[in-house]
Amino acid sequence: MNYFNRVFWLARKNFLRSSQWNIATTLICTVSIIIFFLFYLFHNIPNKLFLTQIENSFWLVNFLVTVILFLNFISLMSIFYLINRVRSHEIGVLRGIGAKRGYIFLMVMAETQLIVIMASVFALIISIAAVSLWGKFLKDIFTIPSGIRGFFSIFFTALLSILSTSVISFFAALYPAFNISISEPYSVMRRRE
Amino acid sequence: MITKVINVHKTYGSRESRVTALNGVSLDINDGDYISIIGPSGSGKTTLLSLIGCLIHPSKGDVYYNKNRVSDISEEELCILRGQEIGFVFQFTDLLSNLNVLENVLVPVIFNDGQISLKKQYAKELLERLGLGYCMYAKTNFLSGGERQRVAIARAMINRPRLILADEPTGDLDAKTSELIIKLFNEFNSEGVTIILITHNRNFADNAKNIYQMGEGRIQKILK
Repeated sequence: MNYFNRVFWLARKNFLRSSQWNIATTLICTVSIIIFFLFYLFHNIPNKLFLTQIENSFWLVNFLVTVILFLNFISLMSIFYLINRVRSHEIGVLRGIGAKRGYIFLMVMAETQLIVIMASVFALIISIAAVSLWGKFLKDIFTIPSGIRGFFSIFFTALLSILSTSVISFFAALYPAFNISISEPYSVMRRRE
Repeated sequence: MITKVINVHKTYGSRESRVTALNGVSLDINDGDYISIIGPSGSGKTTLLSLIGCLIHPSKGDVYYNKNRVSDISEEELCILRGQEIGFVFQFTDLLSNLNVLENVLVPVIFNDGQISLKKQYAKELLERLGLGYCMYAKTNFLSGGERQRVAIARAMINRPRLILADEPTGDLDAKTSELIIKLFNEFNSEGVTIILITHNRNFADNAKNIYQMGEGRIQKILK
């Protein structure tokens, strides 16, 4: 088993446990992806009624998206910090039985990215359903381009939103993962929940 | 000789919050030894065990492992040492609740050589030997205290360590289960594994070849 597989072996097992923290993190990521997706999609595709207003709102949309991503970063960082704080005893035990600092760091980062992947799936389903319904009921004011052009506009917007949330969660997890990985095994083992 | 502890002091905290856990402890541990450490709570037993297990460094004095000074060994090498040569059985059965029994036993393999498929058979044999063959695939939350402690012992043994450090492994267990755990340590010791056992129970300590009584951060008496 190579090093990458070894990291993912434990990260996958940890990720699958039913933890309120995992659910909360997934929800934050999902909501963030959905908002990002809808903002950019509504901004980029033709809108019969509000076309002129939206044409002038490029900076507003970007500003709002930046604020959302910033709030996303702060909330994810705090939640990752809390998750690791709660798990510090477990991490201490892993360090005690031979886990290297690098392994712990990569394991926490891998868990984060697995959460983002799961959130992306949820977010895509919800976003596309929302856009379809919006388009169906409000077709007079909002039109999704049909055919290949429509597919690509949705596809690239989805890709952009998932990538941005993925990058944000990556950076948000860096400090908490580093912080827990450099802890001394004995001190984290004594720090009980 | 596996480990040599020379005039070790250990303090926690600083200034007014300073606590002295060890106050000049010296100890030699040879291959095949079976040592029991007894003493009241706060006498420094767990700190001494953590020093021997290379989990912490002393504030003063030296700990040698295989004739190498532990403070001179890099963090990476210490992790390898802990994974390959030392098996820990902690006071609170610290199993990972998201893994089943067999996976818990295999966790140290992940940190060692990663050859899970090769070690799986040995893990199963260990669990059978410890009387846990019937619950290999059960989640650890559903196990009793005695079963959990035996899983922890199997986890400590999976990489065939030279040294097992057990910190009050019978602390939360009933008399019958405790006797079973102690019997297992006796068996492993007869196979050549060095055991250091911390216990409050003098009867269990009597199984060891040497008994040290600790108090106020030092070894006060050698009882055997």
